[in-house]
Amino acid sequence: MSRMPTLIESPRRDGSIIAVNRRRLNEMPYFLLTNPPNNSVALLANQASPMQVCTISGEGPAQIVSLAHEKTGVCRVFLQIQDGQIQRGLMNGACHIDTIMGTGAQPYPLAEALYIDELRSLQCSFTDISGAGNAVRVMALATRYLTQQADPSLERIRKRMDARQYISMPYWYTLDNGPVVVGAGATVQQTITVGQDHHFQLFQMSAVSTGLFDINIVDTQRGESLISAPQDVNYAIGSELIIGNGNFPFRFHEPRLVQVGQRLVVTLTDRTGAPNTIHLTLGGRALAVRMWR
Amino acid sequence: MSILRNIEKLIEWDPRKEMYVSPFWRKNVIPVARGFDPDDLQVNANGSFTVAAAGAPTNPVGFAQPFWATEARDLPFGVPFEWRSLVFADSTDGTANADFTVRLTEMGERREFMNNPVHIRTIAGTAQLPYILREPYFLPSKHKITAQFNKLAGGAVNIRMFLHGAQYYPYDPEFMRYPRNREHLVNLIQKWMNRRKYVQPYWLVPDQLNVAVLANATIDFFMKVGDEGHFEAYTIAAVSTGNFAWELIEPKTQQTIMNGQPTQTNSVGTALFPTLLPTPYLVPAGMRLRLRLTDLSAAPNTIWFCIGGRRIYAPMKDIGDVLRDTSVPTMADTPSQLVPKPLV
Repeated sequence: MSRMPTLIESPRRDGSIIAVNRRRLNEMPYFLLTNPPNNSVALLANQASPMQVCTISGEGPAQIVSLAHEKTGVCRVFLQIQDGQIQRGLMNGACHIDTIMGTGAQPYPLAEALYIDELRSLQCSFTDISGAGNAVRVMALATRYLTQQADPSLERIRKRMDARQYISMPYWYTLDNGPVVVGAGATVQQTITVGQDHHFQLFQMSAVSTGLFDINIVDTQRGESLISAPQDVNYAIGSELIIGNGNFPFRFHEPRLVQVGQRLVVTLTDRTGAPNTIHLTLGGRALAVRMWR
Repeated sequence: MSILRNIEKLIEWDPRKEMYVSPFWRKNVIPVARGFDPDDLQVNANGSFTVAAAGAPTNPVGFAQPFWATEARDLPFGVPFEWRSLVFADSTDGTANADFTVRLTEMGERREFMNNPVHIRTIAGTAQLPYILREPYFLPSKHKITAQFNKLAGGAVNIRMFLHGAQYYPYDPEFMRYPRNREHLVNLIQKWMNRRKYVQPYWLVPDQLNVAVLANATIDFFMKVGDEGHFEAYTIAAVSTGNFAWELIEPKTQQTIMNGQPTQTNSVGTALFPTLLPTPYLVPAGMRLRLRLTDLSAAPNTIWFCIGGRRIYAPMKDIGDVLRDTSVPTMADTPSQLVPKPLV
């Protein structure tokens, strides 16, 4: 969405500022948290939390653009939206929190802004994997559009966001089997299967692991590697060269479309000489199938 | 802003002529790092400045913009400077742990860049991660920005601080042969000279100087924007002795920008990576923000919270009003119809 300019410059283009656009008062940043009193979500060791809700009031919708968090121990997180009575997941399984959420200084940028309003909330559930009690605080950084002012230009923005909310939304894929333990020096093959109700457009990749590993991802429909494209012989790439984290996910220079129901085969090879636990997350957006038949 | 900042390219496409042209005048806009004024007797021989041990603030030390002109027609311009980013280095404590505040003022016009002293690590970065101003500041020749430092703890330190940006040279022997090139540069300088009257970089911090929160306590502080101009926030940064939660409310309208209390870790950066707001937050003149701070460290917590942005000195209007105001005036709008002309 284009941002409204704050300054109204002189039409003579001499650098003078005539006025400040009053409509800018209706657009503001917003820090969306799990609803009070659960700004901090307490987890028991190896237990999952109930679904936590992040809601905004009826003053106007918001678009979430990035995610950040704070925690006392590692955990996995599952995100979904509650739209009226319908719940819709934003990932195929719980992802390691350090692969999809950064910190306040370097939040994780979403590939697609997530629209929410008073009837559509963000929800998250956490599962401790630290083996000890855990406290998690998540923060979703958003742009808020206050529509109480009956501003026609904001109403147009709201309508566009409203129309777009079912066409495209952020989505994450982790391995179908969740985190995988690769034996010392071993190679394993895992899969990621795109859901039946959307195409997946891959934008960025992040992971948490106990050590370095090599990775190759092959799109089975096209028979080509995401790493080195349609070459007959392709080789894996080191995780330090193509995998980022929640603060700095590795962003591909071009997004890649993986069509509805297709499968990616992920080959992982340990390079540490010891058992290696790998939490891999592909970040992108889910595109409604009806729009790209 | 795109026109003002479009100074990097030495080749551009002219759609009218349908050919590439060389904006020759742009070579006279050069990168410059402006350090402490070497003529200031307080500045050490190597360009550093000594900030005394914790106690009273230092005397102001300046960043002076020099003046050169070769012809009479250049006199009004000199060599102005466009300040775009801020970096510093602390040789004693180490830049990552530097612990002092700074207050920046433009001396000639008494322009304040902040409402109170600001922690250095919330407004100045390093060469790798400089702190980018969200609104560049145009410093004409012979103008001076002063910095007043105050060490918060520990002994004396030597610091270096630089304003990075671009310097404009409106005079050039080659301009004698190509006067139209000079016009471009002079026009750009004049735009900046106008813009600087209305907009300037600004940092908003709590009105109270020492923001100390007792262990696990919650205290409210206020940040007054003041009546003279609006404030538009772009970034948030903080330095503290421990983790804290915060909440920002505009008390007059009860407008908040959060549905709970985010923490320093999940929502606030430093000068190296300040939290970039996804859209600027405009706070009108005369308003004040209430900052509610809660200690999460279970120990006394000193917090230096800083919102970075720009100050705007212009009336707030709807676009429709502006169009009406700037349309061709009618007879009824002319003062002579309303106020009798004085005879003498």
